[in-house]
Amino acid sequence: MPTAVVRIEATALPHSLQLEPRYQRAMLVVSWQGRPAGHVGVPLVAGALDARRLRDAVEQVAGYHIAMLQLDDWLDWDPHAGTQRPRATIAICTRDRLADLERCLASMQLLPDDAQEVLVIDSASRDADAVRALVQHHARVRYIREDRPGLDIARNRALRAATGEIVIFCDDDAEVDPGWLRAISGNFANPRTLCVTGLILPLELETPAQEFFERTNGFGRGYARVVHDGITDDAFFVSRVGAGASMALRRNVLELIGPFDEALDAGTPTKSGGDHDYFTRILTAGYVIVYEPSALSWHRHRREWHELRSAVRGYGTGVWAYLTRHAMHGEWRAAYVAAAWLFWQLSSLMAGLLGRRTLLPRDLAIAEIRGCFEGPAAYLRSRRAQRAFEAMP
Amino acid sequence: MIRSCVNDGITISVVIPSHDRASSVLRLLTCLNTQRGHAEEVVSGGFEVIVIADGCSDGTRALLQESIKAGQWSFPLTIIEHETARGSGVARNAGAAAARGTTLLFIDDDIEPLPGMLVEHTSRHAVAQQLNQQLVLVGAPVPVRGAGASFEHVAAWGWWEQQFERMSERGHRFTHDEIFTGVLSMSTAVFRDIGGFDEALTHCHEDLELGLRLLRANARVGFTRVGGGIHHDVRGIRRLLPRKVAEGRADVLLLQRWPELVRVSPLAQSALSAQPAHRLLRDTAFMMASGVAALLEGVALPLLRLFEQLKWRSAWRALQGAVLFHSYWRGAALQVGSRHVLCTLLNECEVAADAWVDGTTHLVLDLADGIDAAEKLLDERRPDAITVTIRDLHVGSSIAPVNAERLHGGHVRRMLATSLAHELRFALSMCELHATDVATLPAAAPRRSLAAALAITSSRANDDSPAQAPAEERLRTVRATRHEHDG
Repeated sequence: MPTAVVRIEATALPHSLQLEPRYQRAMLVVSWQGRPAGHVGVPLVAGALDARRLRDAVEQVAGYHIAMLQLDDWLDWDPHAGTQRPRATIAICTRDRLADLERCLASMQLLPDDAQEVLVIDSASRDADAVRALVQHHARVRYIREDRPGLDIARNRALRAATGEIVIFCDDDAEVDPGWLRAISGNFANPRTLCVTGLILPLELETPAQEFFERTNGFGRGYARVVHDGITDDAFFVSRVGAGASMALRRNVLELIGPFDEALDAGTPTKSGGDHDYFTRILTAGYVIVYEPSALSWHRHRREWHELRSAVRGYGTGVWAYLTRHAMHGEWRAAYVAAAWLFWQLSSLMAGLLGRRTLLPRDLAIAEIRGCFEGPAAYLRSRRAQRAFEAMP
Repeated sequence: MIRSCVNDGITISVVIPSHDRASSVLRLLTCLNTQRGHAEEVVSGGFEVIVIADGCSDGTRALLQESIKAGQWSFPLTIIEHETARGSGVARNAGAAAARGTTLLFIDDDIEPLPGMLVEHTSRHAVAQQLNQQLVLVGAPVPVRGAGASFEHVAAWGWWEQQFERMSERGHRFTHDEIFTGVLSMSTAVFRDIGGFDEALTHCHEDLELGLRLLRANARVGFTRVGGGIHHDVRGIRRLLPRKVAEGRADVLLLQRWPELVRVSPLAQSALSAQPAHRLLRDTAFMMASGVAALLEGVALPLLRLFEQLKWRSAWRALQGAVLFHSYWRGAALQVGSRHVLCTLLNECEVAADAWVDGTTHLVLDLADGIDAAEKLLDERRPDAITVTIRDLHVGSSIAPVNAERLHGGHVRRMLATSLAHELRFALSMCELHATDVATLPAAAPRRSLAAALAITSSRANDDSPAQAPAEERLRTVRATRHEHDG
């Protein structure tokens, strides 16, 4: 049962909605003058939603938020007014996803011109010429080839090649909103803020796998701006911080925190965990990560169920791999968090086996737990491979 | 007193109290020397520097004298020497008494000024003078931290940065404990009018006490990072403990001098804490001989190191907090003598606080005349608290904190957008429903008519009306309907 993802601008509220009849549900993403204010799922009748239900849904989900945004407008109040935005480099790390990359680059062309630079880091794509040719079709986009596969390797390459004061990472299977860049770059006034993450919503919900992913592992972290402070907050509770698919870093993180751990994340045996590892390192060093919901991007979730299962397993591997890394660096809390996480997963699986309703279906729960157990060995294997590469003449 | 040369027409006097930190003072003066050329255009009358060697035994005076003879400085340098250490408040007063500039800039001797410090302070004071404002400008003393800093350094750096973040917020209402003397400038006349630093507070919180009097004298506080410096603070836990003892003592003295501060004093706040750990630490501070306290510290400090090696942050934070809390209360206990005396003092302070609140100024602020007009009114009247209305409709009130700046125009939008946001939003909705008040709103709205913002609510009232009708047009419709009814 596909769900239509519909963007509703509250200042130009349509009288009613008429979508393709195959849609029985819609996810309404409500914004106020381009600023996201909330989303809600509504049932459709033959792909249609009447005026009263549409307004009810908008008011119910975003009424309060919009009221507060209206008040700020009325007062002409912007707490960040007058702060200078740093120049940004946008880095898109890609591998063998030409169609996604094309859509991503097209959305970059709609961003306002703030003298930003766009880098495409080709992380060992099989058809490098095709990626290079695609990049050449877009103005002001620079192509960088990285022969070693690995998302964190590509991220480090981007940080070293960037000329902007901040580097904003965007996944190649994502699209950005026109307000995304300014919403992110406006959050770096505080010198202790090293990282800003944004709101990520699904680009489409056409298949059960995509629906399921959004419900259980979705990247959205709500519509309130949150400041995660390393001085006071738990540095290992980072799933609430955001995701690497929309993440901005000050370029000098290389000196302050160090590079990304190249043994982690996609393209290595650990499959994920690079962003969570970096969030934890930023917070343990006492810096700040800001979650900014006005920075909206759209992510195309995996369409097929087997892809979803593979991704969920990869998340399990990545989480335990990154916790292994921290435990090896003497962070004993990492071992506690790993044990607590596994306990929660096992409890959920047991509940499922006993016939109770659980968040994850059995095959996904098993895939995630398998991933967990693979994590430590995957990290050690990946680290060995990295070291062997570094030792090469 | 030794003066390097005479120079009339000085704009800004830099006052540096120092105690046995000759090398730091030289570093500071060198930085000021490099600012000279950069600052000349803005610091029209030039600047002078006054160093007060407060009981120095490391040859600070001789070193500075030699540097003057060698012609090392491009600015007039005055050295004042106190034979015995009399505290930084006394030292700063002595420096201020010798100052010839119209603006005083106090800098601690462990600060390394940023290149634009003098320009920033001079230009901000020049603007304030034109606006007839009494500006007190606090520069950020940003502590140094390396990539591999210890828990202690990260905690100290984080604490300072959290203060700066709060103080940098737009529309922030400053309090007396945010007026640090690390880098602090104000008009010389204002400083002299309020009587300078309280010399009874010899080792601690003399800046906070001065801050309170400046706030009471209608000062307008500003904060600047550009006009700050790098703070070479090497205070480890062993040096932090005596500081906490001094803070405990100073807070008792502050309460005796300004009893109404009981509402915000950390002493009173922690005295009220019912947490068992706090009660135990508080009570033992009164009972414990100093030898026993030193013994306990001897156990706690290695434990802190152990927790750091194990990277056990939560335990480290808890233990460090407990050690500092206990030291603070030891200071308070030493100053006040007994728990009974402290209870009596706090009770008396409460009575004084009530009396203080009765004497505060309160202003009724009608938003119907517009936010700009409200800002202007606040700038003129500088009340302690406001009651916000829209014509006859009560919106809400602010409180009058005992230790905060009097309200000015810069505070109002923030207050309305945060602490009074829900009340104001409700009131504006009420105005929208009652046409009489709606009529006043276009004048009140500074940039955008509220009616345009309320497109959803209005379109809901009448499904057939276009949701995006221009605001003025919809208001005219509302008024026309009213006239028809009236007719």
